[in-house]
Amino acid sequence: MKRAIYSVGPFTGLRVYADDDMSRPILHIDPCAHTDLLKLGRDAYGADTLRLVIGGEEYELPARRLAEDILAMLELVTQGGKK
Amino acid sequence: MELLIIAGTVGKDAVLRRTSNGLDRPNDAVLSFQVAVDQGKDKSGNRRDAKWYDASIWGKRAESLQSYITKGSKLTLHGRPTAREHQGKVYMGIAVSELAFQGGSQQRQQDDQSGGHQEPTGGASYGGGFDDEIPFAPEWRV
Repeated sequence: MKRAIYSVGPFTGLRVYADDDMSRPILHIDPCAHTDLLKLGRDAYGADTLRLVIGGEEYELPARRLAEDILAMLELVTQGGKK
Repeated sequence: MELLIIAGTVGKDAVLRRTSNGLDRPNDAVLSFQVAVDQGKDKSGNRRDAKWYDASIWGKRAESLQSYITKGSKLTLHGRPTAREHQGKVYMGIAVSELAFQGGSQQRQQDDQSGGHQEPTGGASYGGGFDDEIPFAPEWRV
């Protein structure tokens, strides 16, 4: 199991990086993909860990924390960045 | 115009307040929290003290994000640098315009706590270099 880290924001969407290679993301979901992100957030909310299998490698992420961060980001996206 | 970008860990749960009616922005919501930014290690390998920033988010986003910005949240913040002076000390701050959330695998966090963490070698700054021992409020804020 390889380690992964993520960044999620209203302009960047969700980006997941392998811990040992942050030069490019192994997964990127655009912030415009509201439905996909919402589904991922809801699915992850009830789980302990989220396992991603990408390119033959298996990565692990903290599901609950990721879900909360995705849902927080979607709050910003649905407001259209209003201040 | 100045732009400040910091990545760090939230020290305490964010607090939502409202401005009073007499100000320029009457009854506007403002979300306040403190962020500790890891300063890495010095030449002799000793960890430097984290640098603390007072962060503020205004408007609708402040109300929306209150429940999500909690102690231990890892954030990257973009915004305008601010500073205030109190009893001869200067405290740095940031008026947030953009933010992103970061996180990592459980294994990584456990390594961080046991001191086995290594800085990432890649070019991106997101998510790297955090110290899980940081999210405690400094004495002057208690």
